[in-house]
This record gives sequence, structure tokens and C-alpha cells, in this order.
Amino acid sequence: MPKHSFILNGGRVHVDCPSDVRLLWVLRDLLDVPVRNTAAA
Amino acid sequence: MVCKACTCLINGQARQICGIPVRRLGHTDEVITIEGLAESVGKELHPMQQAWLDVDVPQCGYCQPGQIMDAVGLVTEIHAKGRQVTAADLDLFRNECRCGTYPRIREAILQGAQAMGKPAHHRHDKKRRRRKHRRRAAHQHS
Repeated sequence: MPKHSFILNGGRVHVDCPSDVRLLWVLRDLLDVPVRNTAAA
Repeated sequence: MVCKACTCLINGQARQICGIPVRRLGHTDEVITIEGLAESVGKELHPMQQAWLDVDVPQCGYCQPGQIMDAVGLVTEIHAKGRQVTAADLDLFRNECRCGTYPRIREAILQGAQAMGKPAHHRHDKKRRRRKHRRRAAHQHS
């Protein structure tokens, strides 16, 4: 599985997933970035 | 057409991440989500988030993170060109809000844009004035 690395909200993250997975799914499902529904976030 | 609710900043530019494959991100690429927006300016809230609260924009809230992130991207881009946000710029702001809060969104973007600072050429003018003032002061002392 390809490894991907980038900076997310100021911190480096690494993720192993197929290269065509969309970033939204990477953040939400693999990196557990919470889903926010308010402006105050 | 996409709803743009997932908009994030990638290297400072607003992007819809539901359409970007992870392979497009390199080692040095920086992604900022709504969760990291305030921290990116070292404050409790980003000026655009504060404007959103001041104008009381959200209704159901579903689209709001995307609206704010896209607004920050738009204002940053316009300020980099050295000009202020205009009504024509806001007409091109196409994030969908099913509650129809568009008048408040427009108001908040203008307020947030002011709080985010002046366009690049204004900042340069200020620097130029400061440099000129320093030169004049040095000349008077010599």
C-alpha cells in the first residue's frame, strides 16, 4: 500500500492507502478529523 | 457542480477535497481544515470565524465550514492581488447554502475581509512610508 505524507493543521501526518482515495475520505475516515457542522468549529 | 461543504485550504488556496486524490499531495503540501484555521493565525478564532459569529450567519450549519474556508481563500487571493473585496467578487462566491443565508454570508465575508487586514499594496505602501520616514530621520540626525 502506498504511503502518503503531508502537513495537516500544522502537524505532519502519514497515511497508508490507495493513491486514488480522495482527501476528504483520508481526513474523515483514516485520520479521524472530526466532522464539524458549526461556524465556531 | 459540488456543494463545496468540504472546502479546505491547500497551500493557502481553497480546494474541494472530495475531488482530490491523496496522491496529488506531496511531502511539503499543507492542508488546513476548519479545525486548524484559528491556529493558523495563532488566535482563538480566525477573523473570518469571528465575523461569522458577529453577523450570526449559520442556520442549520451544514455548509458553514466550507463557506468560511472558501471565504478565507477568496479574500487571501484578492488581497494578494492588492485590492479589496467587491460585490462583484461576492457574486462569484458559489457555495451552496440550502437555508439561504446568502445576505449574511456576504456581510460576514466583507467584515472578515476587513479584519484579515489590508490588501498587499496597502501593506507595501505602509512599509514604503516607514522606510521613507526612517531615511528622513537619519538624514536630519546626520
